[in-house]
Amino acid sequence: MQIRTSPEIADVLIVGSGAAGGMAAWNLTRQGVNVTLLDAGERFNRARFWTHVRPWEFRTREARGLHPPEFYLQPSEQPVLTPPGRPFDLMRVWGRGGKTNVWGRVALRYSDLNFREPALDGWEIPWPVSYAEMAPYYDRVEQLIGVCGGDDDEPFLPGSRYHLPPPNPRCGEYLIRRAAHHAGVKIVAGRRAVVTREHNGHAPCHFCGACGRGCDISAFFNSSDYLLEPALATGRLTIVDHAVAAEVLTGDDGLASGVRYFGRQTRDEHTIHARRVIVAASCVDSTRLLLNSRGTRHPNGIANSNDVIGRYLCEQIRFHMYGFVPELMGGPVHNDDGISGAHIYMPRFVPAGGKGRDYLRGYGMQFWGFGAGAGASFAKQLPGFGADLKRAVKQRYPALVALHPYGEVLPRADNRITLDPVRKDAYGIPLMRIEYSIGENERKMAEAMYTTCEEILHAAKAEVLPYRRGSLDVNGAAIHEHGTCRMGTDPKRSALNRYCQAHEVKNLFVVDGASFPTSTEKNPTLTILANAWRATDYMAAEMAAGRV
Amino acid sequence: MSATRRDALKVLAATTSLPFAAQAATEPKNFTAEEFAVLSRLSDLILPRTDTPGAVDAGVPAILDEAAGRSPALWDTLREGVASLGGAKFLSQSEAGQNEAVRRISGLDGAAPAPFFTALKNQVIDAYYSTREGLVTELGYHGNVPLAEFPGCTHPEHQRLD
Repeated sequence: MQIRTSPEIADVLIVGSGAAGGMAAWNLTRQGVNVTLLDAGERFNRARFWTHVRPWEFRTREARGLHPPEFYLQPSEQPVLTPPGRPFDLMRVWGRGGKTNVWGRVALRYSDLNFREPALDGWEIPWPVSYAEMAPYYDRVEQLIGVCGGDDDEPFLPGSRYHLPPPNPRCGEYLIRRAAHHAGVKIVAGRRAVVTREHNGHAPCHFCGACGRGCDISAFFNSSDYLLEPALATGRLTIVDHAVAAEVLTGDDGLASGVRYFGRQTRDEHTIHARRVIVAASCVDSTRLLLNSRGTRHPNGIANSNDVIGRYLCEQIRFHMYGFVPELMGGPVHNDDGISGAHIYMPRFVPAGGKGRDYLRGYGMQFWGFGAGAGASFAKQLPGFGADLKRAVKQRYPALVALHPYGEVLPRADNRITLDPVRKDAYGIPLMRIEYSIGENERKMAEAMYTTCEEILHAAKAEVLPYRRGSLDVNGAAIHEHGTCRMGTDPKRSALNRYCQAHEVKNLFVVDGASFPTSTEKNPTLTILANAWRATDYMAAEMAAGRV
Repeated sequence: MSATRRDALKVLAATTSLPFAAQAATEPKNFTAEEFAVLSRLSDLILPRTDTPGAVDAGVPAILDEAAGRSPALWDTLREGVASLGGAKFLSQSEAGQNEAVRRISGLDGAAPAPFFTALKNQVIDAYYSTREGLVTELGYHGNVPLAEFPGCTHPEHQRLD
């Protein structure tokens, strides 16, 4: 196969265009740096989103041969191998903006305790970054992208002066807030990267509730419209679409020298040379890319002589409990769409005095799917059939409440991503293997999570749908992967320094969730944005000083 | 058209009352006419017409037929389930007999529901509550529309903390 080599040398080459890659491109181009970015897909066409197609119109459209944009990568295009009985549900979006096109928009600051906890409890390595250092970047990110939220300031959820107005909670959310209050659990306003009023030229949300199909007016943060388009407008960003990265190339000096990639449609092999490389392809895909970058100077994968990259994969445990609150049973049906998903949030809950706390770290809780939704799948769990069933569904429809706790999974060396020695994808790139399990700490935490949910639903006098205590979503379902190329101050135990620069390869940066030493209990995107901004500020300064 | 198929369609016409919004009689693409007739009747037993449309009114059988075309496993489960109820003979029973036959596999008597019943019920629920009849006419859904403001809860009694 002919290998096409781009004649130019990129100043900075970024792999990936999601929250991390988009932020890196935006922050560097606005500081005068020329950037080339590889994306594995193309820009999604908002005019073709099915944001306003009602459920019953899906079938008639599909019968006419119409389809909404396919956001999610079909696993068959690049399969992920897992051991028997240990599935890992990896969601991937190839295309400009990546998963930010369809993300849950939950935008939470990590707290000082989130950053300090690993050092305090001694499990694995500490974060090399403090809240004090991250806080100004959170401020800037929130002002840039627009995050709606309240004025809450909690031990595990630091306050912000930059929130846009939060949407009013739905009836069920107020009732659950009260029930939680009775159970001793504090509920606060949700924080979501949805612009509830016009913000930096982005149209305000019109509360149609179909964000999961992509927003046709771009009223929530997505990397494509909020970061890549402004970066393109500087004239300093070049995006190569349909570029499936295979390997970071290295020169004789061991430094990164470019990237080898395949045209997704043509399957042609290309190389592009660069003075500096930023990897931001999402935690798991960045890791796959680094492990496959095995030059003579890097037999174990680039920047990985200490065998840290690929290990310490940590995600979150999650489950769902559903119930019906009596105040709303058989009551009027409201439009409960709002900004789609929860308007409230439970910051990390710690029982008074740490009672019953026999695990490290903790859990928070989300509450999406309250009230009148575009379906009634809860009905499958109601008994019986016939007119009785139909009546039971109708009565419960406006009264549905849903609890979704997320718990931190500790990093462990044997939770890891490796490359299969034999099997390859359609491009000839080795397939990755994910070996991942949760441990005793997570099982204990899950018990506490169930207890909290039960106490809230009990206080709400809710009718609870059947559940099995201890059962959890399939691993990977929270879509919050971290840890496999972690930052740290100790070069023996981490791959990156505190600015996401590889200890061993100074012109290589990894700025996505892979760089986080822990998963925390929180949704990471706001912190990924803040951290990528911080890391690329450092990188730009190092470039200006001629050191990288 | 085979005698069996013609008979089955006749039974279908006899057992499913005229639809609310005159759903066009649908030719199944995947099920036989007999299977389709039985599944149609079962759909209506699960979510019947009351003062609002039932499953057949909402076009659920055609949606089941399409779903079976996408999932061979579902197709097999539903076909085998129809056979287990006696095929077309199920339709010649009285309504009370049909109800009793479904009741026996529904789990209402304390035993675990038959896998076929669970599979069919889940499909009927997903299908019915995604139609305009099920979602709007029956449940009163009026979302997925652009709003200038989102009111949220307007009830002070819901908003108290204690």
